[in-house]
Amino acid sequence: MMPMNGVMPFNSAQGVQSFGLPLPSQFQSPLSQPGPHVASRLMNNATGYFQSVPHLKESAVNILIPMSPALIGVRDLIPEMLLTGTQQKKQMVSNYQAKGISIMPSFTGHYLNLTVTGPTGKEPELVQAAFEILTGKTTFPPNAAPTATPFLEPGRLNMMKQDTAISARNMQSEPRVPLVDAMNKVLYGPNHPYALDALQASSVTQRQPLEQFVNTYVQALQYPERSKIVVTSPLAVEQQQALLNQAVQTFTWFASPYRQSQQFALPPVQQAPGIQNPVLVPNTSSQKAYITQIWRAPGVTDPDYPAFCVMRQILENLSGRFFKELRTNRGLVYGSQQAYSSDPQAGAYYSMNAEVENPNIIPALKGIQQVIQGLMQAPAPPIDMDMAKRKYDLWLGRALESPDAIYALNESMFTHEAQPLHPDDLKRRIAAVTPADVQRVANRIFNPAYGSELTGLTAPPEVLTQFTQTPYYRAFRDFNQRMMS
Amino acid sequence: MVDLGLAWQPQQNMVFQPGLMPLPLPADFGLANTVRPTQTYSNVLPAWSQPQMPPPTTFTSPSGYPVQIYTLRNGHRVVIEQRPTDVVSLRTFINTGSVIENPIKKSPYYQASYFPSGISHLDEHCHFLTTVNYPQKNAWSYVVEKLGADYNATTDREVIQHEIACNPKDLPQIIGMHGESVMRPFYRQSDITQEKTNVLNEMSQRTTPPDAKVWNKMQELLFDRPGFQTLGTQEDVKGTTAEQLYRFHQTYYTPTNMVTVLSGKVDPAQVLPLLEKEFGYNPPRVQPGGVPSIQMTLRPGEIRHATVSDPQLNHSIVNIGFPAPAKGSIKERVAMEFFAHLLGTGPLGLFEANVREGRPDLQITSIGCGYQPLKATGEFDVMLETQPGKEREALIAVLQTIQMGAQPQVIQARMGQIKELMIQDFLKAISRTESASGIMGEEILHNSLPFFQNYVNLVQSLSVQDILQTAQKYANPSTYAVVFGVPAQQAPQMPMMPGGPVQ
Repeated sequence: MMPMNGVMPFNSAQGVQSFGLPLPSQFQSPLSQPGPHVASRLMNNATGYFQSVPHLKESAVNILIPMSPALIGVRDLIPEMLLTGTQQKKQMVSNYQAKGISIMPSFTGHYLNLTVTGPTGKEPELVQAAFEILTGKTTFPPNAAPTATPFLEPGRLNMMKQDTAISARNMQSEPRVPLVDAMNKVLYGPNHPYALDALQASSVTQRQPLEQFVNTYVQALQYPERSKIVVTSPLAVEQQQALLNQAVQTFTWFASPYRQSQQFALPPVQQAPGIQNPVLVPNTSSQKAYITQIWRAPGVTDPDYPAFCVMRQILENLSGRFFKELRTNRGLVYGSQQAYSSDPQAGAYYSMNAEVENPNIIPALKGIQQVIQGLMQAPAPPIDMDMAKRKYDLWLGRALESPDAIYALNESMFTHEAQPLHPDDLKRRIAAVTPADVQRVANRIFNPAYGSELTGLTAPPEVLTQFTQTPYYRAFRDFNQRMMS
Repeated sequence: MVDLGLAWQPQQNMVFQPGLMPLPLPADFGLANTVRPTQTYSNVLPAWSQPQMPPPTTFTSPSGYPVQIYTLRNGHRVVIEQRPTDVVSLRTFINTGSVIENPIKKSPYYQASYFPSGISHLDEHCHFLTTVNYPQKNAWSYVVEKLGADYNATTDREVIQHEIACNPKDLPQIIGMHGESVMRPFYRQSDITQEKTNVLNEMSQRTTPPDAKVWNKMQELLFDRPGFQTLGTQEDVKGTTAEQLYRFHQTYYTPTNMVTVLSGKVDPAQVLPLLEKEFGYNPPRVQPGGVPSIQMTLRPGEIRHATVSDPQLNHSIVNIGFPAPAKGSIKERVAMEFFAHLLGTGPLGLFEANVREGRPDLQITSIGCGYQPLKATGEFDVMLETQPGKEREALIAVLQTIQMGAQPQVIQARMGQIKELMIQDFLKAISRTESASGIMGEEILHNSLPFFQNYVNLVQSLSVQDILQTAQKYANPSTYAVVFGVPAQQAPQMPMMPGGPVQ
């Protein structure tokens, strides 16, 4: 801490009468900690994970159902189908919404993830909402004979297909979209499902009949033993379990004894270490340049993952080294964004994006290199390590405020078939990371001898032409020629 | 031109500490100036000070947590919400913003100002560069970051806010750093020059997206004030001087113009002396005429329109804006919120059912609406994406749907559902510490705290008649502005509606 130059010590006894109320007794103890995860097999063979978190004012139910990402173009419509596939579904969703219960289907890696959140005290309705949406069966209003609703009406499907086509077309006006599409083709190989761009995925969607969407979904429901249900709530674990077991009986989820679905495994991703040739995408609609760099990174179950998390805290946000170097010190960008994704089959990636003025392309690329070289060449100083760990604590403190954020702490563990971790465990793992760990993981990711780096750039055509004539660009090519030889 | 540099005037019986506001300012804002504001610390009560801090006003927040509102002896308000969380949110709100700047577009509604466009925003950036007690560039941020705290600030038309989120154990030190940044920025010309590059980069990034250009134009049509006023013009930002920034700070960072909010595991007895030290020695002063407000310039029965062409677009954007209730009209605010939900929320929202799905020929991929209250007026707007050539029909469909929504039976049919939705959404929003401090602080700053305090009751007591009156008064299809964003290759068209309601 820097000295407070010339500041007289403040004497609170003089002139200040404090009316400060004492801290209420319930606030003097630490925030009530989440209980441990309790895993158990439900009556339909799905795995339930239950966590009691007494201080919450909301509860969340997450249902994870495996659905292969190889089905791109088919599975993309399923979240929307669950919410608005029929008029009755729309009514159902609105009815729950009016009770403060929000229903959000999405994809998390290889899983369809149905997230239902709502106020505490309404947990039975939360569970009921989740199962009604999922199974298409309803007991609403209570005690009514269960009736089945179709999942998708033809008129709705046509509308959804039209939306998909128009959205895919509209997305092309965003300069970064063609860049990311082109980089995906290099990263995964041209025939990998992840290399399909939005227009190609939409084209697949347009060709599918109604039955294809419904069957894909229904078949996914037939493997309850591969599904997971996660409950995060102030309720006691026993109450959570009882609610879930009651629901799986009432809604006869996964009733079919016939296993019709095939497993769609993703093709393996071939990726040699080293620096790959940059992907250059001409852009005629914007006068600016967009840079993206992607590196292979440790997955969430990798032993290096905690050190990677600390490394990210050192690199990212306003206090991170990227921001300091690119903006504070050099004024090259307004901001930069970093992202991480981990897929159990296709691997994990760390990426960095920035929008720059054309003359700043090479200075920005050099700035990024300077930052990562700094991490690779020297252990992070203790003060940086301390800051990173404090930032992690703050991030964790924020997460503990809501059930969906508490669930999100472990979402990747669930989708990687790993056991969830308690916040205390997460904290301990982070606390144990050493400067040498961070340096090691930085080398693993950024050193071309071990890691894999791909740079993408979209800019006006004449700017790209100039870029290919620079020594910086030639260095990429020279590097690759050396690697090839 | 009004020289606001001379605007702050001492209140009666008020004595300024010598050196606190030195004028004329030295030409060189060098390190030698560090002497000046350190004099704000003193063990001696200033002559203007109230002898004691009055007792706090207390209430229970809608989340069920105790809230106390203190007024420091100089008039600076401090709000403390005690909640048992592992994150503390600390924010200071200032009742100013780009509304006080010299207008980019000349308008009878806004006076010429000594302060150039973009100064509020540039000033916000400068608070993190150098401060009086941390005169080395980035030394302040270095200390805050080492504590693992997150800091940020935002500038809008009528409010500036500085925020820090931290671990509870670091709060005492963070209060000191927050006060340092908010109250004692140090404007050194060389640092400001460099920061202008960042502001220009931000300006370039924020003004590029086509929807931002459409929004900018909509603000101009409704308020006679382009949306990009807050970012300023390049010339003004480049030309802003350290002296202007200093005067801006002295003019608007006044005690009665500021509110500091703490939310989290906070002990008032511990933090109040610290806050008094940071904010309590800022002498009271007033701005003649008060702080101006954004004005609605659309007159009843008036329809305005504009077209924005952009080569980045391959589809069209239609943005329709209406006048809406001001912050202080709390009953109308909840009625307007209800109406916005009726139109735009969920699969049963009228826009979804009647405009997007009901008119597949318009190929509308997204449609939404929002309501933003301001101090003296407000804005209700609808934004949709459609295909080139369909803009006019989309506009008509929206206006017809709004008229359909303003029918008693339509409102009655969804009364219970939407009320409950509003209450649950509100409670969910304020269940997060940082979100609660943000919402509460701005309402207190603009004297509309009852909206926050009584939100649940206000919603519950809404009648069909309340909503009907508000909808007819504001979302009236005879008084609106529309901006069309179209691809550049499309001939700019003006599918103008004739005045009066759509038939």
